[in-house]
Amino acid sequence: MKKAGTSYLDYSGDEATPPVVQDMLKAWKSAHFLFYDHGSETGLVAQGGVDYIIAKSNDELLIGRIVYTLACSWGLDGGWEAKRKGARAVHCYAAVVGFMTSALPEFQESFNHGFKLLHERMSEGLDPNFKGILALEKEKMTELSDKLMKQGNFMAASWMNTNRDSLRWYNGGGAPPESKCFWRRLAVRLFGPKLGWSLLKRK
Amino acid sequence: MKEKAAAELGRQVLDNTLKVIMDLPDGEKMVLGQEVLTKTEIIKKFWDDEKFAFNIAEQLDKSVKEFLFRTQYKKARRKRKRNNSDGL
Repeated sequence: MKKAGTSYLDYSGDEATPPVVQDMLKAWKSAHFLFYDHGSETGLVAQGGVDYIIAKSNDELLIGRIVYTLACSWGLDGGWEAKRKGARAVHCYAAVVGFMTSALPEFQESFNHGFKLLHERMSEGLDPNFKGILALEKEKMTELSDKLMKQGNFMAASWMNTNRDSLRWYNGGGAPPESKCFWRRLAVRLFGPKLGWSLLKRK
Repeated sequence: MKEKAAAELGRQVLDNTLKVIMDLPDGEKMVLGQEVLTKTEIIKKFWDDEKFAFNIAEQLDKSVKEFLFRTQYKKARRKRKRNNSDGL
């Protein structure tokens, strides 16, 4: 990003606490959000693992932003919820992200590939084309998995495929997760995903 | 499918999974979110946690089959293209 002259704020150390990052998001309303750390179904975990940087209670901070995460399971619920509340697009994984240390370079390449493509397109002033990026990311992961398989690193290859299969780009063709709410599932079945997911909860 | 044949398939998947785990190099680690497992810990977890064992076995089996299918499919498609002058 430095090379391309993209400006960014880096909170990658002990300063990545909820108040600091939340204040940064409030101050920089047009900035996109990149998150590489632990996650859960409902939130993105803060430094130290005891609190959330982003949870359902504050995911309106992501409205209008492109959100690129490498975090476990957030795509199962929180990532989709953030998209529903107005995030422009959300890159996330809908399962535990796994990797083997013997294939670290291949996994690093796979985790960063989507962001590189996104950054390239946006630097050139092109439409991000999230759907196209998702397809290229999955293609890259398959290619890396095949490479590991040929090397006999079967466990790493299988984790590469598992990560690929759980990767989502909401607003880029990623199918929404199945809702835990019976009424929501019924609404989606009756009216289709677009209308079914847009019906609001009674407060 | 007859019970005996199904049991044989299950045994093969289990044996193949165990072979892959036992063949991991000693310094290898599996990182699963916040959990980091050494080879010894992977083996222990495999026998202590059936869900973990099933997931590992299923994803390995699926990945190997996907790879083999794709490789064979590409070969077959190339062959078919070469012989395509015959139709089909």
